[in-house]
Amino acid sequence: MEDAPGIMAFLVTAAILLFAFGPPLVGLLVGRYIEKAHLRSLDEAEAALRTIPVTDTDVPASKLGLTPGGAVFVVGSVVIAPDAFRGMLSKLRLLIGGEMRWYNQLLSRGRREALCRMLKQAHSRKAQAVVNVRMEVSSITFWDARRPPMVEIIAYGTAVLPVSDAAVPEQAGS
Amino acid sequence: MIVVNTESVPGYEVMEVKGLVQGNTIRAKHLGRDIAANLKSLVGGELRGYTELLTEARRQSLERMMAQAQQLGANAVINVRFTTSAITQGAAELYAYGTAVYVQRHTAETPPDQMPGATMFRAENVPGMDDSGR
Repeated sequence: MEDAPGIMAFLVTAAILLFAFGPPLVGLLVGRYIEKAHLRSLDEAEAALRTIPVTDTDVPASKLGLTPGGAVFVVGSVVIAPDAFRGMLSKLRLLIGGEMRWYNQLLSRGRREALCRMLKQAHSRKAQAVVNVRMEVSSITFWDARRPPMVEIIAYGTAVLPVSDAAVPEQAGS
Repeated sequence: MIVVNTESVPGYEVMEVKGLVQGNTIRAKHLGRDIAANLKSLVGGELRGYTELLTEARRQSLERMMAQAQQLGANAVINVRFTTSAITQGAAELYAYGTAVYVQRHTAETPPDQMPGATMFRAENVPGMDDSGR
């Protein structure tokens, strides 16, 4: 019975450690695993979609060597948040300033995913090209230290359709 | 309705400019999704529930924009832009805007350079943006 305070102290310390470092640790291990799997799937998806030319300018379709049969709007979007480990690192980073390298990877992943989703839409409409692509990142949460910063990334553009698949403008609806 | 974010519709000629059209929607997330998303943000990456919520909301703002264009007698909306902004904690506004136009398809008889509406982007062709248009 004498070591009851010792056990209590141990349990309390363990609980505090678990509370403080448990989420970041889970984030580090599981988050890293999920990220690797995602990057692999992105590589595959991008390789499959590489046949569609993409530009971020309003190039006339004739300059791409195309005879346009019409156009359709394509959008891809994704909402992402950093894992708990990165969240902890970024709080430390705020003390000393500098580049937040671990966010670079996260945002570029999100951008690639949004672009892939947009291209998949274009692919399903048999698009010849996607022109005037725009990317936009916007925070959908107000800054709040207790919550993860969530950002939405959207990619949108105009898919140039082949002549055979032309949309008839008089028909309403998308 | 043709919707594009380019200044012209590939394969079509802009015949008439009908004016600026817009659509917006403000969406709040619900508690169930919030809890799931907070759990998911432990490990980071995509928060699928929110992606779906915002995709659905964006489609709605686009549809509202297209309904406005239809009222103006347009058959296409060009130069469409999106903006997303956080309004309060837990709610975001999705806004879509563009220029409503009437377009006509290029044909063998009227190739692009012979279309009557080749230079339609003149200020006098753009109807004033009065308050009656919502």
